[in-house]
Amino acid sequence: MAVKRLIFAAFIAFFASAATILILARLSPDRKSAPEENSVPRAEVARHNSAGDCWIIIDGGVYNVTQYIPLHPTAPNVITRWCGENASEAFATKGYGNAHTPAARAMLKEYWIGTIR
Amino acid sequence: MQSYLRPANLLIVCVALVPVFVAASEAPSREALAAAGTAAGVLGLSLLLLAAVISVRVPRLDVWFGGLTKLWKVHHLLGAASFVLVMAHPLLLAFASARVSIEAAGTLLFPAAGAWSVWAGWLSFAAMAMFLAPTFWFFGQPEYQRWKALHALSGLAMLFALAHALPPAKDSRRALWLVYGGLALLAFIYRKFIAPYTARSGYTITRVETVNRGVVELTLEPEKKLLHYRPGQFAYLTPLDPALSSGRNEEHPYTLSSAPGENALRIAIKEAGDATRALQTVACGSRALVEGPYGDFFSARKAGAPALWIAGGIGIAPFLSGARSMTVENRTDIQLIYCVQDESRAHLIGELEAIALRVPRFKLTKHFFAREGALTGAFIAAACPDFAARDIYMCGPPVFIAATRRELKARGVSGARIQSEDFTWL
Repeated sequence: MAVKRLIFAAFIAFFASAATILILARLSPDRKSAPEENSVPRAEVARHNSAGDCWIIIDGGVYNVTQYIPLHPTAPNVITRWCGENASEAFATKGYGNAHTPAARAMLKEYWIGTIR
Repeated sequence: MQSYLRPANLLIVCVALVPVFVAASEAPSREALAAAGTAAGVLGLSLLLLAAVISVRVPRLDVWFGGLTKLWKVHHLLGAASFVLVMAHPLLLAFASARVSIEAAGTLLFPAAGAWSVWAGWLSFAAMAMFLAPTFWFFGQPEYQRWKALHALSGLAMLFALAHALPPAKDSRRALWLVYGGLALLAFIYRKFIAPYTARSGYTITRVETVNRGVVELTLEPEKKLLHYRPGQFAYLTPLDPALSSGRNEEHPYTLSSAPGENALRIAIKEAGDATRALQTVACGSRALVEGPYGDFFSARKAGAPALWIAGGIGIAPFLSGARSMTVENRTDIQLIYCVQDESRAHLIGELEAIALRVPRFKLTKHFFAREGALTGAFIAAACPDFAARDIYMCGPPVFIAATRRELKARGVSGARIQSEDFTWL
């Protein structure tokens, strides 16, 4: 009976948590949905080429992902090898033919700083 | 509490953990929350698939788990753990994404319609919730056949879960999922679609003996070969009598009360629900299907050691089988304590007394709840002074088993000496 109670409690907690995340996501202001035009020269991106200062280009967008490196669910060098570079293909295939999830794209948006000139 | 420390159970745990280690080795230095989220999903799927694999219910396989009843308990716990992990999986990943933005966390849980592998995960979870809600009594105790029908959704849950897990997996993990998923789906297909036609044998009900009010003993003669079994084992019975008011074509497990040497099977059935009530008047001459044997009540490993048998009510069935198979030369000391409400409820007591007169080393003590109250340690000690040195076998209602176990433990009997079987909802 203890197992049954525990499962029921977990089931309710799951829906409460998922609903809370959904509601907060809907309520949060969409800061980066209409970014101001900010064009970044290719040479400028190339200067930010280290783990401590990492800009990357994905599909024409420039992203400062320095803060994200420790949060990425792989070894850091999976990202850092692309610092200062165009990582569009790596992002699209993860190196073995698999696309990033929509959630990953939503996260990427947070690090947008401009479009490549 | 039963002991779960069995080689078969430990093997299940090890096999369940393999995909977790493979996933961790694919991405060694993962950020903790996301790593926990992935591990929860991987282990949850692994346990779900293994729960399906062990529920294949092939006769004799259950002995590795200490009998089918114990195997079902393991299956139940695997399912429970899987369900909790499968719920933790998206939440942990969403929490990890929430450190970047709450929007990303929301997108992770509920992406655009095109992200079909995520939605396959949700469909799998929905199927799991539908078949596990009755299993874990979200809406009270379910009706057996409805519960069983809903449990078939587990096949769908596994398919959707694999559709969710396969696309993002790298080759090594994908190969593992294909093996685990293949085995689980084979077990599911065998149990649902093949075993009903190949594993059941035809029998004719040749005798329907009412042994007491609400208790009947059926005699079933085989159409071909008789089931080979040991005392204390049980079988799944599917009655086919078209006149049955309930339970026709439904399989239910029943302990065999006959001795293995007999040329027919006997099954003592007490009315406890619609199906068992209908069986009290099943037609003589009608057909039934039998699948088995299952269970490991009188473990073959302990055969020959002095034993104390404690039966509560219809829990006498496995002991009837044991007593009926005794010969005069029986060299094992057996003391049976048969507990019933009163003399009128002592099923087949005359036959047991006759066996006790005939077999020198088999002793029978009756205990009447109406007169003596609950079965106490003092009563057991009086009937069987050396009980602590014997292997103790108990069968009866769960409350009776639990209370008697407490009495025995209070008198220093170790749990390892006690073997019990109760037929109840997990």
